[in-house]
Amino acid sequence: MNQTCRRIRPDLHAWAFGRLDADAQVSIEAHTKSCAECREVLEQVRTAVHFLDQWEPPLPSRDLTARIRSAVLAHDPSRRAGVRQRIVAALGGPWRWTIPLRVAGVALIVLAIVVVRRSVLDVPVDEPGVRDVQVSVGASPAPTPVDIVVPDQRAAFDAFSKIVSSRGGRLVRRRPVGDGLEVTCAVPESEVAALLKLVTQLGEVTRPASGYRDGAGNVVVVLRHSGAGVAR
Amino acid sequence: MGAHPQEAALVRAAKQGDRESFAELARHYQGPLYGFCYWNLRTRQDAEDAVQATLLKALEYLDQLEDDTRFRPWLYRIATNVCLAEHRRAGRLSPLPDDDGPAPLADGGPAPTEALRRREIREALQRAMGTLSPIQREALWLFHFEQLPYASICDTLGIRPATARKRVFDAVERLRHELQAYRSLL
Repeated sequence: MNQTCRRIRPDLHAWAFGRLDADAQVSIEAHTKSCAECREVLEQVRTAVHFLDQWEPPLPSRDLTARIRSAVLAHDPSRRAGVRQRIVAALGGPWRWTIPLRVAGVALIVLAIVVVRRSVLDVPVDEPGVRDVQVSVGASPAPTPVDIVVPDQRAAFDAFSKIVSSRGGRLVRRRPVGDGLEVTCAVPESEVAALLKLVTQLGEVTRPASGYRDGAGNVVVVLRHSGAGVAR
Repeated sequence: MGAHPQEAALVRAAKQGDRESFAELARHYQGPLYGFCYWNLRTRQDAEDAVQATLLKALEYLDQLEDDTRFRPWLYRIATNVCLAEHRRAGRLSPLPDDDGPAPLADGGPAPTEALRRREIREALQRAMGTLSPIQREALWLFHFEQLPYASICDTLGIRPATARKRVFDAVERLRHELQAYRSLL
């Protein structure tokens, strides 16, 4: 196939479909007389056109006209309009409320995020679904937790929870730190010393109990497991 | 089928809430739309559903049609989108059997051999059509069955002239190759 054949191929199609103007037809006809390949292409396209001409869809259902008519007469355009259109229509103008609505939408999303975050943080740590909560302590220096190697992290966590409860405190959060589990708890100041004493019985203390408080005064302990049980 | 002779007046009336006017437009265009949708979706049920969806969408968004004389291409554009959405939903990009062809032969119908030949032709074309993409099928429909010029095809499909020409060209080339094996049926 030479350049001419490539160039005139769309015109060959148009000719076979009866969509070629007379002038172009003369030119194409002259080419096809001397080009067997284009003659063959022309015949093949004409074959395709014959097939297309014999195509017809099956008859539609007899009730299609009535069905569409009743659907048209019964259709309520406002009912199918988008939510935004309905809100805008209800408020009385296409643009008047657009910006306030968007601002209100963003504010709602921000508010929802704040509420969710606060509610998550306020939930006791042992409630189902509360996991790996991280809290920024702002500009306060990062605490150096009491670091305890325990044979069974899950059992140690359960025991630690009971100790905290027995001293009148509560768990604030927990999160995995490396192979350990960092647990933060709030206990009355008068109970901190007793708590630390009991906690050190859970396993081998590898870090001195100093600087173990976070910016809020909570006691931070890391239960670093040496066994298989992992509290998650 | 061409545009309705009173199309612009009917569209204007329908925009003002006259449902009977729109019902008249729907009656006029449902046949061509059915052919278009069947050509694209290839089952009668899907085609009928698409026709209804197209007309109801047109009714719903009629106030967005700026030029009342351009209802027909606008309607086909909606139908195009409805069919493409159906393709995306159903993933029907592969050939489908012609599951609901013309009704069985009745008295006065074509002779059995002729009926068989027609069926074979239809099946051959269905197979070949199955190799076309949805957008090629739409362009070919508008080009051949609606006899639209390229400018109107562009208008209907919302594409550039060069794109319209390429889609039609590719579709014809594909059909040309696919149908050669069935030349003896003609």
